[in-house]
Amino acid sequence: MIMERFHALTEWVGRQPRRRLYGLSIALAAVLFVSLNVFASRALDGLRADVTEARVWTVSDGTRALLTGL
Amino acid sequence: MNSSLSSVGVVFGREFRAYFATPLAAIFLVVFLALAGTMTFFVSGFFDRNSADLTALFAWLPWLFLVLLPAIGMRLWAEERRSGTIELLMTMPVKPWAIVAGKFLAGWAFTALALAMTFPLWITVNWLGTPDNGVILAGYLGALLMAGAFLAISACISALTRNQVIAFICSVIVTFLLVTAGIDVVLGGLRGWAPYWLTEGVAALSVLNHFERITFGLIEMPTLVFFGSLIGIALIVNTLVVELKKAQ
Repeated sequence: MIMERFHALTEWVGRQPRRRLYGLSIALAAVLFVSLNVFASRALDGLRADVTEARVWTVSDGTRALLTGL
Repeated sequence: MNSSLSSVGVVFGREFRAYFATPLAAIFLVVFLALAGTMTFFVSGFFDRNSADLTALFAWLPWLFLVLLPAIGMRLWAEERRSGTIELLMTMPVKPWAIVAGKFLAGWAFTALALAMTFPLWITVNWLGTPDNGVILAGYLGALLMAGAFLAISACISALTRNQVIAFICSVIVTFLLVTAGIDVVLGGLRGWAPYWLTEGVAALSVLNHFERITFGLIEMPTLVFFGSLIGIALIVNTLVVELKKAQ
């Protein structure tokens, strides 16, 4: 069933004019790009490396201990 | 797989050498370095700020790349089509993705060379003061990723047309939209009428916002995914366009 649908899809793609296929590829790429970045901004938020020499974007152990004690 | 990778290497070598076969490489490097130096030291008031860092260089890089990288990317495919060498290239036993990857990597390596040649600026700020070199390295990483994204988009647009001028103008427009999506003027205009999710969505798709965060010394996974996906998707579309042209 899935393979039949896949073949039907590839045949349909083969029948389309080139300009329409360009448009479709670009539209699909835009959707893929937006989806991937929405997912990354939600699922991977917080995964980061602070490369500053003074670690200015990292909460120090002392501050962490102080906040934990509050 | 190994033969495809060696094909990428062959295309890479051919394209990289091609930059130096014409005055293009020298002109690009001179213009880029002159503009980068002028923007960093004079336009941004480097000496008035009394701060030894490369913030000024990184603030101007997106705008320099906006014009200079489409100039590199425009010729990647349009020149092959105009001169008729695309037919020769397509009949070679090389997969289209390998040609796309080779051409892109050559352009990216050339841009990396241009960025590396700004090392006198780095030496100057280290001589004048004690800058945070971690932040500077992160800034260069961000610049390289941004250059890759702009180049991949320009190459993809170049594959769609045989006219280099059209490829250049379209690439500048697309990259301009990606850069300006995050500036206050655009976001302020959007906030007046657009829902919150749309404004935030537009800001999240801005090259400028992601690049700025890297230049603060913060390398975040969503930023790496942003640039990686922009490069990857542009190259996939580029390969599809080349495959379609080859098939039809």
